[in-house]
Amino acid sequence: MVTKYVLRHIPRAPVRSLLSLLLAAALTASLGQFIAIVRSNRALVDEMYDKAEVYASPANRSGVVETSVPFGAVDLLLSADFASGFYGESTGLCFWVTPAFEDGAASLYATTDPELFGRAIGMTYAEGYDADVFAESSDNVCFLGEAALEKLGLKLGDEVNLSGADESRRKVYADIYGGDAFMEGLRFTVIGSFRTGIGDYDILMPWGTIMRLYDRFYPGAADGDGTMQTAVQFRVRNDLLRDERSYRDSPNELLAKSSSQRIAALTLRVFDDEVKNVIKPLEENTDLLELLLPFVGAAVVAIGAAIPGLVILQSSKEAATMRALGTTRRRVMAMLVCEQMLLTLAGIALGVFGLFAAHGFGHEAAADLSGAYGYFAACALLSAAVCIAASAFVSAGSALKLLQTGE
Amino acid sequence: MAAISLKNVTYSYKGAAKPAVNSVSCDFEAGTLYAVVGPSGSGKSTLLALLAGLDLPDEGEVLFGGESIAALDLDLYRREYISMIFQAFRLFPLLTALENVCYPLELVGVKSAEAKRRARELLASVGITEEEMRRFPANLSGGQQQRVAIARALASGAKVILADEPTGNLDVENTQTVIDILASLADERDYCVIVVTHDAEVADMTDVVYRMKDGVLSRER
Repeated sequence: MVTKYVLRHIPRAPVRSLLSLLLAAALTASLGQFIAIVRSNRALVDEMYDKAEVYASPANRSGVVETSVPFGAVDLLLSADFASGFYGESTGLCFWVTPAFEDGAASLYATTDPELFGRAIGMTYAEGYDADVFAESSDNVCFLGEAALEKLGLKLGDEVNLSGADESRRKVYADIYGGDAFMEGLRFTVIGSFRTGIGDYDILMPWGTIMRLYDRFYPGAADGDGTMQTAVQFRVRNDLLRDERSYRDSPNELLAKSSSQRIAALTLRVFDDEVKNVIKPLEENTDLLELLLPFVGAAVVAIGAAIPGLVILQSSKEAATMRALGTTRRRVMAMLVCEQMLLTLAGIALGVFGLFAAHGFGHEAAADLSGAYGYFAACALLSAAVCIAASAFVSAGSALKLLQTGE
Repeated sequence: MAAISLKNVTYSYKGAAKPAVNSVSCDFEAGTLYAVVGPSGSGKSTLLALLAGLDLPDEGEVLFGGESIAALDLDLYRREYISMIFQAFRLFPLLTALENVCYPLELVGVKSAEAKRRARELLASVGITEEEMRRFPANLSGGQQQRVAIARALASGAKVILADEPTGNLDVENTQTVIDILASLADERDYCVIVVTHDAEVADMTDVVYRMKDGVLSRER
């Protein structure tokens, strides 16, 4: 009998039924889409942070990039665990690639991440070498500028002799070490090349190698403040950018995190235009949407649940007549609840289907909408609860009271 | 034995200073058309509601076939032992005339086809045509609606019909028709029909008239 009642009522009140159905569908779809937007924005923000390239250089208190940074400070920055890569140009040590470079010393660069160093200029590796092998090496390996390779008639994998320091220093160190100390052990394998800008003779070495050379030519200098490294730039780890909001808001938090007083005394100049101009506004927008989501969700669920409840309350006269004719209260409730729940659930299903259709079905749609399932379930459950409460209300009390109320 | 009786029945609405029905005792016999008359607020509709088992009296008893209805399942009592007719018809707006009459039959478990057959007979007996049976209440006149309501009241097979101002919304012609139907039920089919009315002309057409005043029932004729 309940089924018959429901099946008669729904098509015979087409406007009411259609409105209930479409409203439930629209609210479900809107809420689902809102959640999907929030989720996809968050995923996009995370993805952008993963791909963002944020660089930082030690700077003075005025924010001007420091051109002279002690080796020790660089070492500390690297050990502070927020840099995923580093490169810098040495001014305290220079080499000639002998015998060809008689017209000038080569600029010497060191890096822990050749990809970082070569991100704009392109790197070519000799067979068997890659960025990781290079970064972790402290062997005599180096990259040479392409022009130098051409000029010297070298190819990748060849060996070259490097001649350290200038003539005057050679003499000083010859006195200390005896003989031509600068020619010994300075045979380097060329494991890669890079396109250079101004200096054709640029040399790139692993950070470990150059530290070893410094220690050789300036014993103890790498630990002290006497030897300088310029144009230091390191890349901030993406996972920190993504997960540690304080770093994004205030990059110098990176330094404050360090237990070293020497690091805490530094200031960073951060090159994060993409983060500032693109990702952060999107992130702030997403934060706001996430903040609103529980309220919007609760409001939509409440409205979605209130509509069938109101329709049932409007059926009080009918419920009173049913009770007067001897219909049990339980059956009256079942009739009213089933009709409205059928419409509500069909509306929710329609809304979910529409959402999936809009998102192209499949796994991607399921992933986009996965955060909304709880709200859909809440909507269905709350609707059921409200329908039961409303039907209990309209069928409660004596039949006499119901008839008088329904008049 | 009386079809239905009231024994020292008193009923008060919550917060009311005086009882709506005050220590009323009365027997209603089968085969008789009764009228209960009285001014508005005299308690006549409440009396009818108590007879219908819509609520139980605060004091006293309503007896059906000599048994207190307080001992019965009131839903079952209303479903099978009494029938009600209302001033405002109270037909289900989304059911056709035929389906409205089928409702009490289906409620007591009569199969759909049989319910339709019996409903057709009942509707025809009160002058509703086949075409009118397929109409929704909103598409029927007041008189037609009340005749459908009478057919619905007859559907359950209950032999006591309680009618609360059944002619209150009808014109003179339809009033006469409805009263004729109710009178024939009492006279020809041994129904106990109790009509609450404030229409003196309607009361004149009944067998017995009771007057209700300030919750007290007294026989007038």
